[in-house]
Amino acid sequence: MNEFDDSVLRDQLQRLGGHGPDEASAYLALQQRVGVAKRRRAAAVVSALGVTLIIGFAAAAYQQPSSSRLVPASGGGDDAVVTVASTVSNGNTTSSSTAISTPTINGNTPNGNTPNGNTPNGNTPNGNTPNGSTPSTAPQTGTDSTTPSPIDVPTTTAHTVPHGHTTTPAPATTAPPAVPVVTSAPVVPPTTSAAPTPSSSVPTNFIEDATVSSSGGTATVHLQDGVLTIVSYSAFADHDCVVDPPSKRVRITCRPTLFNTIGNTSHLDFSIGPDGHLVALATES
Amino acid sequence: MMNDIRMVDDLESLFRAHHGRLVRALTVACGNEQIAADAVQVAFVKAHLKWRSIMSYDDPVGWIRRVAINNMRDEHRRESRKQRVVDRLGAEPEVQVQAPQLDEVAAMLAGLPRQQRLSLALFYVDGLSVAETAATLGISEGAVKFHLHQGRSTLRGQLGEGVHHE
Repeated sequence: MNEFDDSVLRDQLQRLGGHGPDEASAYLALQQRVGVAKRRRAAAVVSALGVTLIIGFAAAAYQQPSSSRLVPASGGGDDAVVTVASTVSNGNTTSSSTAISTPTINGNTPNGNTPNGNTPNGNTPNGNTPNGSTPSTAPQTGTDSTTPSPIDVPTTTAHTVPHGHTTTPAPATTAPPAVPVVTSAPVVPPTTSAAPTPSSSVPTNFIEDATVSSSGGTATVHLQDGVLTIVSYSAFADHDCVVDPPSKRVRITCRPTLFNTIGNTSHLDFSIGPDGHLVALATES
Repeated sequence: MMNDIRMVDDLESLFRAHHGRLVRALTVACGNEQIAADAVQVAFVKAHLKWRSIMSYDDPVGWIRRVAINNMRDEHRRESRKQRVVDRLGAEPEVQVQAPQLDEVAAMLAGLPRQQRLSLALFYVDGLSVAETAATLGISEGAVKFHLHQGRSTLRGQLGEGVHHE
């Protein structure tokens, strides 16, 4: 017997509680609410799964390697000669040629060109050869000739353009996807100060520099004695700078990405024209 | 009663055995049958969605009862916030739909503290023991006895001889 047993109070309170709802109708209402709750939970699970997939794809796309690479073109082979030239102002030119055995070089910044006659990487203008550099065999037109340091292959940073050339910034548009394209598309005039001087008779040791920008990036090339070399280039993410020694062309192409899989575009194309001058082409396809 | 509950593993049987009594107890506690019925039904919906784990509990009905009480308290808090906003804005308060059975006992119950109302409702209407009431409310048995004593004394004093022990 509990000390709080109180039949009168119990009756009063139970009467106050009423008869309660009808059990059958209450159970039907319960089943309806359970169905709604299950559908809502299923929708939430599907939504969460979809959001998770979207975030996963976005993260995967974001973590794609975004650094640009310098690779020889398909015809180049492992022994393709990629020449990085550094040109100084006042007509002084230094250049070097090094055979690159690996098709991809990352991470090093190019030798900076200095407009006041200083040579990059500590090269002195009096013919000193720094560590392990390979002397250039090309004849020079400048008064001073030095051999630069071993190649630091340009990757991302554009350099000052010698001889007063200005670099035109590339448009910030996202480039369409790409596969290296052999340029058969219409030729667009260069957007920057390529300086081919029309001449019917081109000297064999003709030196010329040009910088061209397009949606893929910016590249500065150097032409000397019919050899096309890259001075520097700045390619956007997912773009490659490709040297094609047989055709003496440099292309910046866009690699296919998750969000850019339609069509291909060759953005930048340098070549030596029939008159021996450097021809900078901005080719879209 | 605990042993009987353990024997019940079917939610429908459990619903038919306890739903009405729980609604009546919460109606006494909150004074509104609609709010009480809704709180109990939401608790059973949650139990239905988690029945595989809840059926292994020692006291599944205790879990449902506790969830129903929490739902009722949430609803009470919502109503209180709503009323405060209405008061702050100076608008006319909505007409409160009161349970029709708000008679003399209900009016006296409404004047009791909420914990006393819950203790009286669970003990006298739902038929729980002092220990089960304490477990449901999350308080000690001594606190339940105190609330029962205070609540019964208050009601007895206001109702006079009608609520006295026979």
